[in-house]
Amino acid sequence: MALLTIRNLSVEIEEKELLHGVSAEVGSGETHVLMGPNGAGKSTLGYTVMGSPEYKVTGGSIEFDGADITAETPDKRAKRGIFLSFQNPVAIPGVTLSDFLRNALEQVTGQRLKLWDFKKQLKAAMEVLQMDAAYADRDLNVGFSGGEKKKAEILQLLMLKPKLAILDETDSGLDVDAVRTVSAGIAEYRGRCGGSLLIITHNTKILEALSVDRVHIIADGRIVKKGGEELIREINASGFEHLTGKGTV
Amino acid sequence: MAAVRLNQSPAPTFSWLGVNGTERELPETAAEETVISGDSSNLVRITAEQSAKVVISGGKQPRTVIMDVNAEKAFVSTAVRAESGERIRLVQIVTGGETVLDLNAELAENAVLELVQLYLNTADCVSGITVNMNGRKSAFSSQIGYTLAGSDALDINLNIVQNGKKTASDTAVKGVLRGTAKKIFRGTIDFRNGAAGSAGTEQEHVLLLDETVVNKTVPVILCAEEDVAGTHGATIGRVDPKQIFYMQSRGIPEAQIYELLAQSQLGSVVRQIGDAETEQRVNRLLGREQADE
Amino acid sequence: MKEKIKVTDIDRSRYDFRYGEDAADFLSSGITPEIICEISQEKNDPDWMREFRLKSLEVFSRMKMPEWGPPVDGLDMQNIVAYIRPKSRMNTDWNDVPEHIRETFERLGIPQAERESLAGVGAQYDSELVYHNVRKEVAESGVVYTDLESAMHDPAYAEIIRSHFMKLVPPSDHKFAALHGAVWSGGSFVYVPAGVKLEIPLQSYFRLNARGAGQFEHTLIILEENSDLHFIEGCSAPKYYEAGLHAGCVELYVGKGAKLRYSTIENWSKNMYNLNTKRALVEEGGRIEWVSGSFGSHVSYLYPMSVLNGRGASAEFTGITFAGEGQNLDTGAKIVHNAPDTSSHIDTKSISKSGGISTFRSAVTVRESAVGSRSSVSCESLMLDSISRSDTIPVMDIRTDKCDIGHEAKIGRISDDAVFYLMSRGMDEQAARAMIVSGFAGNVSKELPLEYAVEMNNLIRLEMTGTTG
Repeated sequence: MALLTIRNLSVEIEEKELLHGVSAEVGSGETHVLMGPNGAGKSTLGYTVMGSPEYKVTGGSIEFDGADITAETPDKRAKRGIFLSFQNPVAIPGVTLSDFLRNALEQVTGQRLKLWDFKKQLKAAMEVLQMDAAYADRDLNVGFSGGEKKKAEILQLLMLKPKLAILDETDSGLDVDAVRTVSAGIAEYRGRCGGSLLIITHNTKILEALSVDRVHIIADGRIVKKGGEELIREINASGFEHLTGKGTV
Repeated sequence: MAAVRLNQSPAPTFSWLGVNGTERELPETAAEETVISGDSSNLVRITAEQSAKVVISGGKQPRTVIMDVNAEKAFVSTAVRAESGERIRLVQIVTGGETVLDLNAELAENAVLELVQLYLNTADCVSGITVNMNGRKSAFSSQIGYTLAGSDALDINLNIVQNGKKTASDTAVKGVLRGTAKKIFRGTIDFRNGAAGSAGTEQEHVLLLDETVVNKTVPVILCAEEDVAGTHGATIGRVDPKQIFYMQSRGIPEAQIYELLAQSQLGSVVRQIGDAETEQRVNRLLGREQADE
Repeated sequence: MKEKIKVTDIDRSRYDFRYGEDAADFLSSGITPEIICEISQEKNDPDWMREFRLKSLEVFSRMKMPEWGPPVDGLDMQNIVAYIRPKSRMNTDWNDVPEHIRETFERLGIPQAERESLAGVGAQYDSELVYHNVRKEVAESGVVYTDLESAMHDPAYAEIIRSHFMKLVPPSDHKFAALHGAVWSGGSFVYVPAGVKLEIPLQSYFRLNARGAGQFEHTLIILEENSDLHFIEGCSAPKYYEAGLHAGCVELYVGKGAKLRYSTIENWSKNMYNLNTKRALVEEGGRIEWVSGSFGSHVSYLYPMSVLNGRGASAEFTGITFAGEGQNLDTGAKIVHNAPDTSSHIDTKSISKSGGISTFRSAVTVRESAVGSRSSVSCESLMLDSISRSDTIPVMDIRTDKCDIGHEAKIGRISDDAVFYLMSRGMDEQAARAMIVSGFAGNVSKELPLEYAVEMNNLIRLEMTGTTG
C-alpha cells in the first residue's frame, strides 16, 4: 500500500477551481517529482496535502499511512509524518528558531525533550547545512534572506524526520552553492530516515543528485503524464509544450 | 481622599473615545522614601508592597535598579535623575492590585536611560511615565510588555519630551490581551523646537486573544522642529492565519500556537531584563516552562 | 500638578459617535429664537424644519466648545448673527476681494470673465453649465441633483429629506453641528436610484446667490443599491467671505453595494474658521472614498467620518493638508467599523510651513460586531522649517480579537540629498523643494480628475514660492 494516496482530488480557492480530479500515489521510501509550468497547480497540491485552510477540497480524498486525512488539521497531518517545505515561509517575530523547533519536535514525537539533547541534535543538523549557529536564537524567518529561509526549512526537515517530505520549489532563487547545500540536506534526510520525497519544481537542477522513482506532470490542474526518470530528460530537451499543448508561461 | 486626574494626554482628542485621561483616588499612606545616590551599589533591588517613593541618581558606573511592585493598593513614584554621561537601567515588574505608578526622568547631556517595564496581570494599574530629554545627545530606550486577562486593566501614558539636540528615543511595546481585559497605551514622542538632529521611534504590537478585550492605542507624535525624524507604528489584532498554518504544518496545535506566541511576545521583553534571577522569577510568574537543566 | 476633576458623562447616540464636549463655559449667543423664526420664514420652511431649527438652537446654547483642537477664540461668538447674516454678501465687488486672493486667481490663470462671474451676484460659474449638461444626460435615469431648499418643497422628495436630514449628523453631535441645524442655508441634494452608475462626476458649486450659502450649506446625498457616483465639492475657487465662519454639513447615505467618491479641494480664504462636519453611512458591500485637500482657512476642524454599517462595507480616505503662515489646520478622518468583514484605509500627508500648524487627528473604532475587519492607517508629515508645527494624534479603539489593525506614522523633513540631486540637474532650490513637495502630495493628486490635480499642484507651487498666500 502506498504511503500517500491522492484520489480524484478537486480543490478550489476563493471559488475558483485549481485542481480538477488529480490522482497520484507515493510509496514508502520513494522519490517522486511533480513538474509543470507556472500556475499548473503544483503548489496547490502541496498545500492541500498539508491541509492549508485557504484551499478547499471539493471532491476526492487524501489518504496517508492508511488513514483518510482529507478533513484533518495541519498539525494532525504533521504528527502523522507529513512535512511541507514552504516556498515562502512566513516570519514569526518573537519566536526563535530553536524554541519553535523544540516545540514542534515535542508535539510531533509526543515526548519531552531534554534541552541538552535537543541542542546537540540542532547543532549537528545546522552543521550539515552550513548554517551559522547564531540562527538558532534568531526569530524564525525574521530578516532571513531567501537562501537562509530555505536552509531553515531543510533544517526543520532534518529535525522532524517526517515519513513524507513535500519540497515546494526549494531550489528556486538559490545560487549554485546553496542548491548544493540544500541537496546535501535532502540526501542526509534520505540517509537518516529513508522517508519519501515529493519534490515540486519547474526545473531540474536539484534532481541531479537524486535517483527519481516517478515523475508526474501537471498542467491546468490535471495530471497529464506519468513516467520514470526519463520524463525529466524529455522535459529538459523539449519543455512542457508538447505535453500540455501550451507554452510554459 | 480626593480623586486626582492622571495620565492626561499631552494632546487631548475626541472626548467620546475616553482616552484623554483617567482618575483615581490615591492612597493616603505616607510613602517611604528610598534614595539611590552616587554611592549606592551598582545593582539595587527594591520591593514595593505599599506606597513608595524612589529617587534614583546615577554614579560613576552604569547602575541597574530592579523594582518589584506588588501591592494591593499603592502609589509608587519614581524619580530618575541621570546627570551628564550617566547610564541608568531601570527594571520595573508590576503585579498586584490597584496601583498608580508615576515615573519621572530627567536626562542630562549624554545621559542614557534604559527602561524595562513588565505589567503582569495587573488588576487595575495606572502608569504615567514622563522622560525629559533635556541634555544634548541624551538617549532613552524602553521595552514595555504586558499580559492581561480576566478583568485586568492597564492605563499607560508614556510621554517622551525630546528637548535637547541630537537626542534619540526608541520604544518597543508588546502585549497580550485576553478575557475582558482593558488596556490603553498612549505613547507620545514630543519633539520640541530646538531638538535639531533628534530621532524617535515607537512600535506597539498587541495580540488580541479573546473577542471581549478592549484595546486602545494612541500613538502621538508632536513636532515643532524641522530637523527630526520620527516614526510610529502599531499592529493590533489576531494571529495571521498564514502563521497559524505554518506552525500547524510543523505539528503544533492551534491552541498551543496562541500560547507560544503570547509567551514569545513577553519573552522578548523578559530577555531584556538582564538579570538572571529576575528573569527566572518573571518566567515563573508567566508560567513559562523553565529550562530543564 | 494634579487637579480635582468632575467626571463628565459621555452621551452615546444611536450610532455611538455623538459626544458631549466639556470645556470652558460658553457664551449666551447672539442668536435668539426670534431670529431663527425670521430666517425660517424668509426661507419659507415647512413646519417641521422650523421646529428642527429651534430645537437645534436650544442644543447649541446648551453645548460647550470642544476641549481639544485649535483655539477658536478669534471667533466672535457673541455676535454670531453677523456670520449668519453678513452685511456684505457675495455681491462683493471684485475690487473688494483681498489682494492675495486676486493674485492667486491671476496665477491660477483663471480668466477675467470667470473672475467677474465669481464675484458677481447670482452669476454662474463656468461649471454651472457642466452641471446642467450632466443633469440633462442623467435626468432620464432618475438621478436628482438640485438644491436642498427646492427639494424640500417638492412633494416628490420632501419625505426623503425629512427622514434623512441631520439624522446621520444629529445637532447634538457637537456645538457647530447644532449651529448648523439652526441656521443652515443652501446646499445640494443628490439622489441616485438603484443600479444607476454615473460615469461623469457631479460637481457642486457654491450657490452664491443664496443668503449665507456656502457658509452653512447642507449637502445630502443618497445612493440607492448598487449605484455609483463621484461627487466633487466646490473644488476650484478660493472663496471670500467677510464673515469668517463656515459650518457646513455633509451627509452621505451609501446603499448596499453602492459606491460613492467624494472629492474636495478646500481653499477658503485665510481668515476663515472652517468647522465642517462630513459623514457617510455605508451599507452592506458599499464603499465610500474620500479625497480631501485642505489648503485654505485660518482654522479648520475637519474629520470626515465613515460608519461601516453593513457586512463587507469599506472606506478609503486620501487626504492632504498644507498649513502655511497663520493657519492651524486640524484634519483627519474617523472610521467606525460596525459590521463584520468591513475594511478601511486612511492615507494622509501633511505639510507645515512658515509658522503653519497642521494636525492629523483620527479615530478608528472597531466594535464588537466588526468581526473579521481590517484597517490600516498611514500618515506622513513634512516639516519645511522650524517655526512651524506638525502633530499626529491617532486613536485606535479595538473591541474584537478577530481583526487586523495597522498604523504607521512618519515625520521628517525634505532630504538634503533629494534637493541636491534635483539642483544638480539644473533646478534652483525653490523649484527643487516645490517639486519634492508636489511629489509628496502625489497620493491625493493621483486620485483627482486631471484638471483638479493640476490645480492642486498649482496651489502647492504657489505656497512654496511664497509670493502669495
